[in-house]
Amino acid sequence: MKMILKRNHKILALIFLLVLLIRIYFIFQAPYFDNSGYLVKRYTENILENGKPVLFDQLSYNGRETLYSPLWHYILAFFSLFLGEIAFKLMPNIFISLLVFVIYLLSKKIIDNDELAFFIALMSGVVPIIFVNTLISISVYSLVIPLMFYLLYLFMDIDEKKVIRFVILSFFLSLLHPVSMLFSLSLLVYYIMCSSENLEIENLKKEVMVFNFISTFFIQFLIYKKAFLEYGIGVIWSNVPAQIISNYFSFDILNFLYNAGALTFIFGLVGIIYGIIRKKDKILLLSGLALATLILLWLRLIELKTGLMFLSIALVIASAFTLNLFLVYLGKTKIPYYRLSFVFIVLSLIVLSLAVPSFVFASKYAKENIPSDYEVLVFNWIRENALPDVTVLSPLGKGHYISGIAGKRTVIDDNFLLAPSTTERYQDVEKIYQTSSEFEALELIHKYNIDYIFIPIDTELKYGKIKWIDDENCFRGIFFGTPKVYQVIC
Amino acid sequence: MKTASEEYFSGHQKYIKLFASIGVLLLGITFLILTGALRQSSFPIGDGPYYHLAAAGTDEIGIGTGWNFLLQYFPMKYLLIATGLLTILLLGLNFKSFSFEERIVALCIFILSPGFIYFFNVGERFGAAFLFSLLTSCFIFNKKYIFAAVSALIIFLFDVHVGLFVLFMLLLYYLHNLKKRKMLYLLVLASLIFIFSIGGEYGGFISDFGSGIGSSIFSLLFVVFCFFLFWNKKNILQLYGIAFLFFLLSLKFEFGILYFSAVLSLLISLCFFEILKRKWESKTARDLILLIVICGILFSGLSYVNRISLDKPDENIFKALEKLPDNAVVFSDIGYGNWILYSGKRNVWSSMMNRDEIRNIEDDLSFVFEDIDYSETIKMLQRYEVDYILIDGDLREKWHKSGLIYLLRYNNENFKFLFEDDGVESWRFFR
Repeated sequence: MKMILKRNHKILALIFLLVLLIRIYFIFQAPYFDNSGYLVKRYTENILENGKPVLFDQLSYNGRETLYSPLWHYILAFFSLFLGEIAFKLMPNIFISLLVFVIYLLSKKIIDNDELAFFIALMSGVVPIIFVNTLISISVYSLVIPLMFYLLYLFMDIDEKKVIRFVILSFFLSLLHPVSMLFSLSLLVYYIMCSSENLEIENLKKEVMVFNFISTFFIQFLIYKKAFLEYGIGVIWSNVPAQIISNYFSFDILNFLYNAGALTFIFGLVGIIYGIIRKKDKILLLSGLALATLILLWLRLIELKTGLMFLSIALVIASAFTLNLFLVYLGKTKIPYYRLSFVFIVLSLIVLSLAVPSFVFASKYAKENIPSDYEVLVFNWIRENALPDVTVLSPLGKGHYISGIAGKRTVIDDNFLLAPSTTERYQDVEKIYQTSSEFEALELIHKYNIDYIFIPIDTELKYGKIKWIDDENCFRGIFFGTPKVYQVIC
Repeated sequence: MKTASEEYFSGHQKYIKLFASIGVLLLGITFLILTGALRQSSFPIGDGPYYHLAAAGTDEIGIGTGWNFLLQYFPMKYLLIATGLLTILLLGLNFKSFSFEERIVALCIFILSPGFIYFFNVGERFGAAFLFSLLTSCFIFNKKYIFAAVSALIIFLFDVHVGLFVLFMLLLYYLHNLKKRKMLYLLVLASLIFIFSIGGEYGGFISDFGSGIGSSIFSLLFVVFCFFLFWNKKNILQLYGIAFLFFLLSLKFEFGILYFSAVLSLLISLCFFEILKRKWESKTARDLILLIVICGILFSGLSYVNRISLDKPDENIFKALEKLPDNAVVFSDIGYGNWILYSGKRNVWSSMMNRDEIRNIEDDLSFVFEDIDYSETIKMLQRYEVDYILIDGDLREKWHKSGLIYLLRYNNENFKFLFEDDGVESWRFFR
């Protein structure tokens, strides 16, 4: 028994190291972070400097109140004390690589087949949508995802011993990110599904379910009280501009197949359907998570990529169930001699359907979503040469570069909660880049006290060349390449 | 075999009860003075109290005559503390049929409810009316019907609507005692139809979501959760029915929230003890759930106290109003009407007017707020004989796209800027 345990540990450790090494290979190819990464970095650096989270952000939206849970930033700040700046790259990738252990435990619980559980654990390490979105973003989801699935694991066979662990981690997850509500909702959907199928749920499960629901709500309420007062029940849309929220559920099935892995999707879906038909308790729990995610996506309450991350992992775990059935079925057929090669082909196909898109997406993402060396040079020039309190106009997707690298004020960025009139600002910023009327542009430029205009190449490609910017009486060109930067002088 | 602590408690139960009662009163006093302590200025909160304060010295018979009369002789601050404490006491007496523990917990929850905090910190007339309705029910429970009738009649001096509501409740109670169920249900149904046919504004019902007065989200969540657990218990189910009726009432009438809060507190208390009695697999989960609910209710109450302590008016508005001549007509937002009245000026409108009156003025003033139609705006201001216009930072933000702000900026012929004091602007309007 001890021997098997040791062997299993070794294999798991190897899978973990393999996933981590692949990630490290990619992160060190990208010299910078993506847009959202710079927000996390800036807030963490503030903690390192002052020991306190940013409560009033001087740079975002020309100065605004902020509201967020700083736990993730504190965790990063803690590791930065020992590792320095490398902690921003390393720690999120270590956290998300821990997912392989959690998925192994979950799969083992569902199928009780070590080999297959290892394989599923490996699969979870290279799911494209998770691989890409947790690579260079310093994303809180790097910790949230493993934690949420570990809670799911604890819940599956909860007993008095596990309750304390469940309680503590449940609190921790709620403190970490509001997406913890998704976990509570998953349990609720699971409860409804079990009730509709006349399946008995143990009392202990019901009790921890209630606890999780109430504690999650309480903590969210405690942290986001101000937002609740400001937006009422509308807080669930986090003040996201109307123009963006309408794109939240632009669900493209082909894109999803590519992002989550086509075979994973098929096997996962079959697993979930079969599990529901056969009233398998553990699969019902996974279905609860998948269904809750779909509901939230449908109601536009979470971002598409966030929802798909949770959905794809749920499908990966559910696919363990299908693969197990498939292997059992193969064992019963008259082709046992071909079994091994057949299994090898199927499993290789699955790995390929996940790993290849992961690596392709990761390379593409690192190229397209991080600033180029020239862009960083421009940001550094602004940092060193512009006055300290100037405002730089940039499109929504580049806001955190302005505040994070250039250290200047922005008109808009994607940290929407408590930000002033986001819909109006989004519309105005689009209008400035789009309009051909200099009068209209100047009116908006003065409205937001804009001193510099940053024009990235993708904005020019999207809206065409800005004609009014050539008026030398009003705008002084500083950089003319990609990106362009102009100073407002009138 | 009794443990030492059990023996101690059974022997000292009398003292424990006394200490618990004193604790409740202390909690009540704390929440009755906390808002004032947190508040930067000594001015009462909201706009309603200023109407009563303005009417207190006059012989005018208007809204809340009884309350205006009391304000003539007693300072509002002390009157609110006294009525608040008496309310706690009388509510405790009304809950006499429940166990001591249930009563104490219910009272604590009631004290922490936004309804109690609002009505006994803001000098509105409804708190006193509620107090007398509790007194009436106390007399009824003790079969002292003449006293009950007198007390019920006194309620009319504070608020006619509350008075009518109490009479209606007495009628329902009477029918209940006579076991005339059909008649009782018919009346309830008719009253519901009546309540929802009279219209009125819906201002939200969860204080934590920003509504002016309402209930704590944690209280509501807890009772909804408990409904699924205890829906088969007859006594609790009846209470749920009453709470639901009061909840509907509170959506239409401001005072309804006090009655709803009282029943809700009792319901929470009963559910609390039912949960404690229930068999739990995990005591940790049970204790933590109850702890979170208590913390949530406490947090809601405290955050509500903090919120209303920051409410308007501030000193600057009265400073600006002081500089204007008495009896002049000052135009401002509807919420400023009673402050204008209190400072000895005449207003165009106020929240104490009846709904139709307000709607008519609102229609008239739509030109002032929405259009940039110069002549119509001037005509309306002339029609209401406006002499001065008072605007502060909040109104500037609220009316930033209105015609009035535009005219004040560009029309020197009819409007003259007088002064600006800490963000409060006064303008003269030449009729």
